[in-house]
Amino acid sequence: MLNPMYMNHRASTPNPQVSYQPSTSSFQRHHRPSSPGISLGPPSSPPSLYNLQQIASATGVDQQNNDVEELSAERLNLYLDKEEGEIENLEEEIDETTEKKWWLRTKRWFRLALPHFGLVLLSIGYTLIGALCFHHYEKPYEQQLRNETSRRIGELKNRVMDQLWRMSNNGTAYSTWRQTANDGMDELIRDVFWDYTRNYMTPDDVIYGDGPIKWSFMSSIFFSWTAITTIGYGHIVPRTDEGRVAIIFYALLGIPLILVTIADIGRFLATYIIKLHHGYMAVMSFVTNSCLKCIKWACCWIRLPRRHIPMPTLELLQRTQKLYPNNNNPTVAATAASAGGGTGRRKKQQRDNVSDAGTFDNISEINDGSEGGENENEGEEEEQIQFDPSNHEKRVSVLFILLIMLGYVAGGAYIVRWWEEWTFFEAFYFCFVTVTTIGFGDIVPANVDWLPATLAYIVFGLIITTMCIDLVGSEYIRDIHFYGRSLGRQFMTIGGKVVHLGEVFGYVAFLQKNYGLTAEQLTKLSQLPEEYLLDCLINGRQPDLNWIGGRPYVPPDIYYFKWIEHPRTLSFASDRVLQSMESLDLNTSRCSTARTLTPREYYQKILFQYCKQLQPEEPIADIDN
Amino acid sequence: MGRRHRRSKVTRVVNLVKKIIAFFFSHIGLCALVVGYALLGAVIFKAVEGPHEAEIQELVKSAREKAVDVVWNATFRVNRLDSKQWKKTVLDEVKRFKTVCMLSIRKGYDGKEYGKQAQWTFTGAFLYSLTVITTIGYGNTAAKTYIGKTLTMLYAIIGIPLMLLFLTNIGDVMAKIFRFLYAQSIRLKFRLILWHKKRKAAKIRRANSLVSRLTRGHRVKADSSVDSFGLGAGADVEDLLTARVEMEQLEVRETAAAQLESMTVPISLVVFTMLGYLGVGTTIFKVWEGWTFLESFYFCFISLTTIGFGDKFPSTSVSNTDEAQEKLVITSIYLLFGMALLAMCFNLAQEEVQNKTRWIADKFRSKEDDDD
Repeated sequence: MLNPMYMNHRASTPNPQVSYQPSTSSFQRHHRPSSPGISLGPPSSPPSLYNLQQIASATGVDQQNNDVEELSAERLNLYLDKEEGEIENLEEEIDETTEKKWWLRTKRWFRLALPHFGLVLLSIGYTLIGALCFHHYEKPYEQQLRNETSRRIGELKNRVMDQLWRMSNNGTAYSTWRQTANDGMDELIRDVFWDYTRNYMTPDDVIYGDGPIKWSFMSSIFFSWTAITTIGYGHIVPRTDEGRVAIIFYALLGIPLILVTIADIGRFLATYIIKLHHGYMAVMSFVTNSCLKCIKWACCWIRLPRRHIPMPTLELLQRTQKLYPNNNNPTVAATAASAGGGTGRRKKQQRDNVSDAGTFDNISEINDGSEGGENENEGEEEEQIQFDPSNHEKRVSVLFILLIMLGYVAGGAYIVRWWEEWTFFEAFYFCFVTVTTIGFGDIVPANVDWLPATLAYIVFGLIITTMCIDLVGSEYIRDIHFYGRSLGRQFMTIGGKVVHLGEVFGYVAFLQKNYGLTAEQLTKLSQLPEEYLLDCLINGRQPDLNWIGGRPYVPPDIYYFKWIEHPRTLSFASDRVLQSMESLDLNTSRCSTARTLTPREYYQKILFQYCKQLQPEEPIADIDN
Repeated sequence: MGRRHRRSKVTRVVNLVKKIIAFFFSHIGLCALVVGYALLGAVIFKAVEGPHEAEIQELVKSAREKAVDVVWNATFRVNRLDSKQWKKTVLDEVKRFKTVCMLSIRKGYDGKEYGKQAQWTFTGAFLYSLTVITTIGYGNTAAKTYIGKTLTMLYAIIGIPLMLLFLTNIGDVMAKIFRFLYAQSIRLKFRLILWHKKRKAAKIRRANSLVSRLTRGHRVKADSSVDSFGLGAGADVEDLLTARVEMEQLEVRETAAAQLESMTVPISLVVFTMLGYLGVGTTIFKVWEGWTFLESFYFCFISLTTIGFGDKFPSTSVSNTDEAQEKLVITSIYLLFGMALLAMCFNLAQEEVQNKTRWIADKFRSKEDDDD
């Protein structure tokens, strides 16, 4: 039944004929090995699927033939998609040949690099403009404030001392004199505290009346940078109204700019961190494999010669069937003691691997619970080892990130304390508070000469911190979403074991991904109903991506049709073939009237017909009149 | 059998732990976790830093007493008639006292009397914990002891990612609520427009019936023209008018559906919401603290953007009363809700900016293709 349809398809569309011809030859070549796969485990199809097959094939004589045709259709879909992939590869090669010219490469490189450098230069320029602005506004006010403060404290001192001198000469009692002295001291304390906390005076400013200028240009740059990165020490702040208005607008524009710049550079660095971590995990996996080989060698286990299976689909079917065996296979053991020890060690190894994976606990327990043979254990072990690298490529461990961050903070502390008179703990505290953008301001760099070095440290520290938080945060959010979604999931019983559905489907997706399915096919797989997927899992059959399940197929271009042909949509052709065949129907005489109308025109015609149905109101009105 | 039973127990325990984690990282659990973590920090920092604060206050007080005693003794040791010598002695002592005072301020003295006012009350410590995990970091209240600083760093390592997680989740939820309300307002708007269109359609139908009544004598001609397209003058005009009104209603429905599908909140509305929240905070702090409008707005802006200079801080000039503690609590709530609102605004604005950027990029790409 399927063969004449494809012949018609080739006759109707001559262009893809060349690409589809090798697929048919490969289909014919692979037709023979499929029958042993079917004979291994004859599946029992559900009634609805049986009815669909019967309708599609129109010959319900032999069930075996239906299964053969269904499996062949599935494989044909797989190979059609692979052929399309090859066509895309050829197109990419053609593109690559055209891009060999050097000026095209240079143009592309500039196009890629220009936004990054533009962001960095824009940030630097913005910081300098802010520094100029604040320097212009705040420095005169600072000088005025300093002069006023030193004068006021001097007057206060002289007044208190004159008062005390006159009282001591008059022979006043000690209690009264003491109270006056205490009041004077309290006033001094209050004034000194005010100068220190509100006007940000240093002890030299208060005692001697001189000290370093706070709003120098370098300090202004430092202030601008700490403002737009939201560190905000607060050791120097704008005191004038103009300065405060300026800082509001400056931060409003500067904070998003800096966030974008730091995130951009952080993402650039994150790729290197992931590669570094991947290399580390590769070394660890190599060591683990060596240990496993030693264990195998110590157990003196002889592997049975396994048949080489040519087709990946058949191997997939076998492994899928191994997951949920209907009947127990006979156990093969050379020696009871050595086999028991080896099995225990392998299970421990499997448990360790599964704990690394994290989300496949139940599946591993199902595998451990089944009393399968050693071959199954080896198969599971290989699958787990294959699974680990792909899993570790995606996530970076939290400890690794913490080590990077704390290492950077400690290194900075070790460097900064050379030019600041701090202990190591104080320097570490300062670096930590800065890099996390808390910015208390109780410990701030006082040496102006080394301020550029401190500034550079802060810049790179913020980039590294942003990168670390992004990596760890994304992982946490993914886990949290998984746990959140898992609450709504159900627990079902398969083969006498309690199985979490999300994990089963995740594992199925992993298996499918391992055998080269495209993202589109995975999307279709996810859209299939769960009952159908479970049936495929139980019966050891690959799910049909184009399975419709009793629903009529509704094409997107519904306006062009007056009718839907039911048997055609139940065929197992791919969507592309189906759409092309349906588009050909526009040329037939049945749809000749619909071909000339656009959807809007067609709807307007219906609208006019609807308006004319409103006319029978007139005779009723005439009768009333 | 025993092994299976143990595995079953292990499975049960693992699933229970996962359910607990899922609850704690759901929305309600996450809010409770953040508030609980801040309360825990408040308890810890009060226990660690409170005694240190009392110690510093006592130190300054004793230094003041000592200075007064020294000056009094100097009055008798030095000749009373020599004013210059006495002033020199007093100046030296005052200078020494100021040095001690400065060192105490650096160690954490805040110029307040012992027992009357204290920074490290429970609410003060709570606000400090909140400023640490939100990275505002005013610095007016800061850990001074070795243990306090160490605990602050450990607290921040765990708390800052937790706060980011909280803001991300709550920002998403609030963005969805905001988008839902915006969609409802759009639906209401288009419902009103449709109501006007239907009234117009009803008027046209009434006019059509009047016209048909006036042309009663030509009824036979009108009936014959039903089958043909546009032959009869009256029937044609009536049909066209009715069809036009129906088409207008259809266009309104399509426009509403298109806007609801795109579902992007405009940036002006987001900015207006943020400015409204800042305005509310400005009013509150202006009434409480006696600041000017600019100073209040400055404080709210610096706080919500997590810059946190600390030059303006609530309840600085207020004593250690219940009213001051209540203000600190309300300030904490304002900051927490404000951070979530800011995350929501960033989320919505980010979507809008991404759409605009994609549109501009597509335009440039099409222009480049035309050039090529």
